[in-house]
Amino acid sequence: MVNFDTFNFHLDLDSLPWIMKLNIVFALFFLSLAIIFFISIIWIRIFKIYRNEKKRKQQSLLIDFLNSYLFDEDFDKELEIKNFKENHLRTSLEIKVTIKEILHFHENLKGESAKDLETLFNKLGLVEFTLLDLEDGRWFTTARAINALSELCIEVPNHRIEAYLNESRNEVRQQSQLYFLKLAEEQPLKFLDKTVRPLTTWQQIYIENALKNFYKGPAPDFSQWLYHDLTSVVEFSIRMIARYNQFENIPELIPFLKSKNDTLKREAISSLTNLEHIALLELIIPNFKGNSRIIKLEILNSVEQLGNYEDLKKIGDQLATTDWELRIKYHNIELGFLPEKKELIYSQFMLEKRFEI
Amino acid sequence: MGSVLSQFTEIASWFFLIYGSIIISGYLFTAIYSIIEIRDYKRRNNFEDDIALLQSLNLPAISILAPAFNEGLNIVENVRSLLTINYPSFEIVIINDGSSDNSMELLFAEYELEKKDILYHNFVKTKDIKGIYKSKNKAFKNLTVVDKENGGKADALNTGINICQNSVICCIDVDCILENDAMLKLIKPFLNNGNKVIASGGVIRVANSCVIEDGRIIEVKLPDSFVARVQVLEYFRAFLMGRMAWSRVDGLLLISGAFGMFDKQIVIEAGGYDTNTVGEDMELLVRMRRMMQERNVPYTVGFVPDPLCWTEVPQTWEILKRQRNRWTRGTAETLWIHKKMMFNPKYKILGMLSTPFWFFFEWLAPLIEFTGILFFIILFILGQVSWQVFLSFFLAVYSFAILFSVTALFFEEYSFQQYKKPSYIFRLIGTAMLEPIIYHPVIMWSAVMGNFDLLRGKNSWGVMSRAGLSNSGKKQKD
Amino acid sequence: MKKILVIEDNPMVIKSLEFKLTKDGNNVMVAHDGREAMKLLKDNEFDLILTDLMLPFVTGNELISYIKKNTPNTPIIVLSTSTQENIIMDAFNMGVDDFITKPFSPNELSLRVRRLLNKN
Repeated sequence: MVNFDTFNFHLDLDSLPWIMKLNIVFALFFLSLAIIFFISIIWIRIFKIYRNEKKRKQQSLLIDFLNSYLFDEDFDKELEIKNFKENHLRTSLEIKVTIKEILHFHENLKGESAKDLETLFNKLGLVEFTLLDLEDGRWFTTARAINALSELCIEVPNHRIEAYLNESRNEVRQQSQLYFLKLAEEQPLKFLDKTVRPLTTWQQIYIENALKNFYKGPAPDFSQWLYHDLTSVVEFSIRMIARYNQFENIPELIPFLKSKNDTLKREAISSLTNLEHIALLELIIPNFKGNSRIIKLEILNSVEQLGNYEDLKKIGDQLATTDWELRIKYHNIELGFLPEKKELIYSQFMLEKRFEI
Repeated sequence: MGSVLSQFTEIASWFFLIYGSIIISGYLFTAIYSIIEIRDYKRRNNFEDDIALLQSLNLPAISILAPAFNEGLNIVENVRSLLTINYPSFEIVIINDGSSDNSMELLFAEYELEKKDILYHNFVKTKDIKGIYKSKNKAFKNLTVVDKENGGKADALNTGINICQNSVICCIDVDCILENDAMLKLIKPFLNNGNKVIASGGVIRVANSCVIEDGRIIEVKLPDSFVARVQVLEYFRAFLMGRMAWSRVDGLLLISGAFGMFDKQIVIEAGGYDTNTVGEDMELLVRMRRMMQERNVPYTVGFVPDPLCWTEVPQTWEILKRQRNRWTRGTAETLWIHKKMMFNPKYKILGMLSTPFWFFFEWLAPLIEFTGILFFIILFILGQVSWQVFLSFFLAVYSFAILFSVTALFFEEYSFQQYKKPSYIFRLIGTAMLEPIIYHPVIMWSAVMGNFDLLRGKNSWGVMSRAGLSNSGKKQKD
Repeated sequence: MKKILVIEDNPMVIKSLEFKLTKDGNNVMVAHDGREAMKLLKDNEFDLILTDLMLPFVTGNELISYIKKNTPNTPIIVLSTSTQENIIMDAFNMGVDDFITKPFSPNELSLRVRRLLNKN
């Protein structure tokens, strides 16, 4: 132990106690790391300021260029495109920003303007850049490239995208699914046959959206995927049968009311309800009691949409008094059927609530 | 005596050394995992098309629950800004927790409220409800206001849970400022995963000194006060480093009370917020996770690194001390309630990593540090201080603290870069250099006092509920 | 020259609408959020209002009811991402004249604008 009276600084490291050496080594190590990070921060900052400035310039240039291109009849398209290509598509940043901005415009516009943007993308030679990105090998670049291709309906040989349908990365999978969907003339969901990884809710949302807003051909018969290996695909197909009013598929949906899988059962009930299949009620009301909570809630929904007070009463007998969530839903539906008894139902409920009946 | 002491010093040195190395490797782990997670998140969200989301019929409807206690000053604007969030289907439930100010009257007048008979059940037991109100004006049909007896934040949130209509709830502080797309971002984990998602949390940022108009951030500014500025750094460290890393290994134990989304059914099954602890936000998530783990259902907790929620942090030492005192008690109470989980392999990451980490580094660290200082003082009195060792030790710890903050700052620069002015970087670095000397001792002392108060049996809420909700939810740890 | 107020928060959409509608020979004013819109509405009279539903500061519905209360004869077109039936119905119930969903076709929009302007 070094004593207080030996308080003097040795510059000779060897004579120091080990603990001090260790501390000093650590301190130096931490400080130099901190300095490295500090320099990186400054560097990132300068780099970002510089890049953002360029980005901003390119963006404002593009907003004018694109708007004139789309809406100004006096705009000399050929000449201006040539100009733009020569002067403003020289660095990879300029190209990136341009692709992004055209996509952004395309996202918000449809009809003739959207078509014009697709032509422009081609004429600016951006397709080649996108194809280079596709081959890049890093998943996020690939996903971005596929996104651009599908968004702007640029066709490439199928096999180049097909490989990504079952990629381990969610995002790549999703973009390749959308690619096939958006470019299809018919049979937009053919890719489902080749899909072996579950569809997330997220993907289902985007597939449905693309189906509604991009795909122009005849709606596919969704019943062909009702026996797909993946539950998520079946779930999606059941839902789409209702969204596309495929009444002819109602008989195909009925077996799912007996499904052991609650997700499918629930989806089937909800779809048949949306298809206004009145006969549904007599299939689901008698067995109400034997179901799980989410199915019970769904059945109550169906009664609300399709049934009347008499149907509802048949469920009333099957409700457990302690099942407050279902009871509240029940009474809310009752209120809808019997608006004149509103106060009665409310005070009756509050009374039961107070005594926990 | 000298030799006993020197032996003791030797042992103590070893102890601090080992403890220090564990802490350092812990931080190293967080830093590496965080940067991977942030990079991954940025890449995943490279191209976004919110239109498809906003048009979807498949997005779950959300109930936003915001307890308010004496928030009359800003409540009208805050509610208005909540009503303008981007989401296809949502309801706002404001729970007036027995405010003694004119909050209720203000809401009444501005939003044309009228009493409504709404059926509800106390899935979670709460204080009495005085009335439930809806707007007569169709433009505000998403708004529900609940007036209830004062019962604290947890009780208010439970009331909201009982009354709200949707199966996904988002609990927020009414005075926090949400980004427009906060809900769209926070719901994502619920849609993107095979496993059941029971909750998702987001990053909280410091709103002090920012330019705010009608409940919206117009310009991000660095806080003028030192106390708030240090908390900017603390929040970087806690959210960009800590939580990101924990989320990567699915070991998150805390979603801030100021901003988190939950599966309502799971919350109810777990029993809702515990009104007996001051750490109700942490305790709830731990209880939910524990329940899922005991049921053996695969599940996960999501985390979104975007800056989605801005909040005022304490600007004065007094309020800060009170807040940290409360956080310490909250952590200790939660760990105590769930002590069974610690080092229990049945709870996997939670048992083997998360809870021990919280125990050793969140709860115990200030106490060990305090002991170290006491030890130093004793040595000093006895004239046994080796100044060289002390200074070298201090230097090592100090440079580590700086490194830690600078790393967090680097993450912020790399990811979101919210503080645009170049001069802010230098001010933040300066703050980081002062923090270990000026700010940190206060935080440590508050934590020690928190433990002391807990032992003394200071009632969790009591006087504290009077301190106002505005500070009770800003729980954050690093 | 007809005076049109565009209320929208997406800068790209604003620019396009401004460009297209100005080309069509209208005088276009832009509000980037609900609050700005309220201010412009107080000081100006418009022949037509084109508005988004999800806006900062003031909800679209609130804005519509404000316009309907003060200048009930000014035609309103909603330009929104919503395709949900109930949201569209709500808008029409509040007295909106037309509802266009995004993504939109600028030519079609300009046609509908012209038709409403000519009707009045």
